Amino acid sequence: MRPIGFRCLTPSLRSVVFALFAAVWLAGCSTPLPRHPGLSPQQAWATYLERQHRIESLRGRVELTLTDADGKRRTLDGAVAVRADGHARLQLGRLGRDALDLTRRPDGVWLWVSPQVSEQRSALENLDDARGRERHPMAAFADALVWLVRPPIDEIANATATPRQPKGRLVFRSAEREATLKRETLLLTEVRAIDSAEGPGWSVSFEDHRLDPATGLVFSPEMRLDLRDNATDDRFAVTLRMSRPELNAAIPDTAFGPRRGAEPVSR
Amino acid sequence: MFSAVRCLALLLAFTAGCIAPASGEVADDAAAWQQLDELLQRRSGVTRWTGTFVQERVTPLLDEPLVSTGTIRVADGVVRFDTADPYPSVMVVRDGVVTFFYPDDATVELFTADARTSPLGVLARGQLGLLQEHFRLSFLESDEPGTARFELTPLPPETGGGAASADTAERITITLGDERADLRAVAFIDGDGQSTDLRFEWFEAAPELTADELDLKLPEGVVVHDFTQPRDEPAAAP
Repeated sequence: MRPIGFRCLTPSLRSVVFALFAAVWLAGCSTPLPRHPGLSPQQAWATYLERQHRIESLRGRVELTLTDADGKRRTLDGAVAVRADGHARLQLGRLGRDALDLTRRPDGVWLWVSPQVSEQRSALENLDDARGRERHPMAAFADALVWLVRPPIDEIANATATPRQPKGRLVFRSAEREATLKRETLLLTEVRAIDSAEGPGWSVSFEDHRLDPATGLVFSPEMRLDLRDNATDDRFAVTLRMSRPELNAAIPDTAFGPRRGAEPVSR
Repeated sequence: MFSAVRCLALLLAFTAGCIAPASGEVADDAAAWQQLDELLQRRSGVTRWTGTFVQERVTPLLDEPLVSTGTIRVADGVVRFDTADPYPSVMVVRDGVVTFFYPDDATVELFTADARTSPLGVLARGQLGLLQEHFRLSFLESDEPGTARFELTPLPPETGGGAASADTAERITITLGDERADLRAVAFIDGDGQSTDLRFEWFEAAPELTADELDLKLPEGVVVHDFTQPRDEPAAAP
């Protein structure tokens, strides 16, 4: 018995199979990202900044994953909306129940936590312990939400590239931060604090870059924040992964009204 | 919304026929409660159901609602939601305890369904009188033929309601089929520009279903967070 394979098909059937494979392959390909070959490091940084500053807002459904040093993770889903003018709001829950609603505006940060979550020892219960500190950790996290559209690179803006560049990468450095771009596509892949011997450190990485066909802009719908305490080596990661992201949508101010019952947190 | 989903599950237990009005209670709106009771009598003792659900969460952050889908099964007062999309999760309500299972995180959470956080939970234990202490009931015009629609509104705490909180829906509307009082839809409106709508399809009797079939079969290594225990006591295995 002849094995069933491509060769046993008639020419017309082969062409149909070929067309099907081509269609599936094409469907799986996303729009290629624009390339900028041959730029000097300074030109590359300037081009990246110009492109990034055309992003005004980003919103979508979001899945947030908390991962501790042991690899244990907790996932919440909800919605996030961020504007480049410093407005951000994150709503999270599990199984459709609200657990957290965090609003950041230029005039303050507000936090609402489900009474069930706060009263029943959830992963968020330690938030209460942070009250009275100089800076509430959720206020700092609210600031980090804005990084979805404005990565924390302002102080690097006038910095020069480091003398030694890894292959395919461009690394820019200031006194406190370091940013990494992919050399040809100019995708920002990571910003990190320059390590200090003591105290907390952090890095933020951006994944799954894509081209928005409506605006022609490149953006990242996935942000991972790695936090560590260099003194104790405690580590913790927060990943925000957006689905069906909308770039530069007109998000009204009303979307950033703090949730009823939300409390202001120190900034 | 936490209480909203739990309320729904417990409401299903209620509407599955395990509740009877407490004798001697004075209803807040006696005619409405009486009408609801009569409607539920049409279930003719059917206590086992299966169906599919679509949940739409409206948020001011997005133009499109957040959609979740899955199946629901009810048997003899036990309710189980299996959410399939956007990611798998299971919720089981049994004996006044709500169990959430998140397979992707290998995590289980246990909560108590008490009258304060889940006012409808009292229904599952046959305490209609307590419900009447917490909610006002009114019937609404239904725009869907063959259905009856009513609304539960938490009474203000100062009147002894105790149900109103930052986590409690301002209103809960429920749509039942006229003929057999099958659940068609539930909407939780929190008055903050947000609402959650649950619609049910293929909700039908499943006389072969047993409560034991709805129990969770947990794989090894699952982390259990037991929030039914007092704060300082260690979590117990399920």
